[in-house]
Amino acid sequence: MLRLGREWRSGRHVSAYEEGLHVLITQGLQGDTAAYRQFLDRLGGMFRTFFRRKLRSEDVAHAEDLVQETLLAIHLHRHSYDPSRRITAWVYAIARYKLIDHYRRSPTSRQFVPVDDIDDLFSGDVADATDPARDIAALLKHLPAKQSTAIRLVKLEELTSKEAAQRMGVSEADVKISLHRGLKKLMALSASKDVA
Amino acid sequence: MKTDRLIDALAHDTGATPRYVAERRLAIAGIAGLAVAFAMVVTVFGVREDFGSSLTIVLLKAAFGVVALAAALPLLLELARPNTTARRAAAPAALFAAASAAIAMGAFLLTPPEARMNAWVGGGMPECLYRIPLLAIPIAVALFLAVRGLGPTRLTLAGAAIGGVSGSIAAIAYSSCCQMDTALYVASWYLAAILFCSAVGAVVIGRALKW
Repeated sequence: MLRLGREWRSGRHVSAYEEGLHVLITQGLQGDTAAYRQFLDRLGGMFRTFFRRKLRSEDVAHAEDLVQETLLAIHLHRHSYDPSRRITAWVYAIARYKLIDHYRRSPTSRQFVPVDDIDDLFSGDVADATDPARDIAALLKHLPAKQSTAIRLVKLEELTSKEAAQRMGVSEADVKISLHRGLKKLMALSASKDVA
Repeated sequence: MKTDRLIDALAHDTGATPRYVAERRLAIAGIAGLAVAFAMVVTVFGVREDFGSSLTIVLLKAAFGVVALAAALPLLLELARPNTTARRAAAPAALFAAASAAIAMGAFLLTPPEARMNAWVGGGMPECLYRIPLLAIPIAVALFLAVRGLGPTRLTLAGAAIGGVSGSIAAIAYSSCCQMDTALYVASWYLAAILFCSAVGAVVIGRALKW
């Protein structure tokens, strides 16, 4: 019954690109940090091309912001990816959601959002990353102290959550919860216009 | 922060991610919602008095809800997460609605004309039209909470799917207090109630799902 709804990967033609990404995300979800890093890295390149193509020229400065917002959203929703489905469809659904959200937020740049076949968009072109207009690190100061400390220690200073827990004097689970909540909040903040 | 740095940060100290999170969350929410709906039936509406002797017909009506649930579930599983197309998953739900309408039509024609109105609407307004949506509210709230963190991207459709599944589960619970036992009644009004839940879900839940 449930099979009807699924876009089964087997028995359908999948591109080499899809295949490569799928291997990386599957390993990444099993806890392979290097594969997960490589996965996000490839997505960064894909989305940079995607957003630069979709944004108007005067709006292109926001491309890097959208890349970062999308990567953050993908990271926070990674548990909802089902490995029996296409990973490219899943990640582009999020990228497109972020793009449409961006159009809504900036009424001056309202434009037609084509729902074209994502297969056209595959490109190995990884242009140089430009500086984002909004600095995610600067957004940290808008978070509660505990959340921003957890993010700073674990994500930026690269301590393990255990070490961070000792440093902060709280439990490891507490650090993980603060991390998750903090990243979620960061995603919401980076999507809102009022915060510079 | 440069994007490379962000990627480093996100990938650092990221442990293994559990599988079937979406399925598990939806199952827990659905079962909890069903339990609450049953409790509401028992306390608010009261189980029908001849429950013991009419068990077969109650089960048949509950089966209608189960089939509706089975038809709507693939759509919810698809739309609960980032998604580009749900056309294939919509087929069972569309098929179910069409079959149910056809059954209602057939039963209408087979019922003798003088008995039709009574078999169709009972006495006055069919009660299930407001009782099923009422029972669906706690279920929809539970499903909404489950879907919220999964990153749905087609919000209106996801809201409609949540409404449809809630209505179907509510119909299962409602069948134990429903007094009307004709196929004509069940196929037309239960379906109408579920579709109503779906429409409200599209508008209300669809908006609330924004992230």
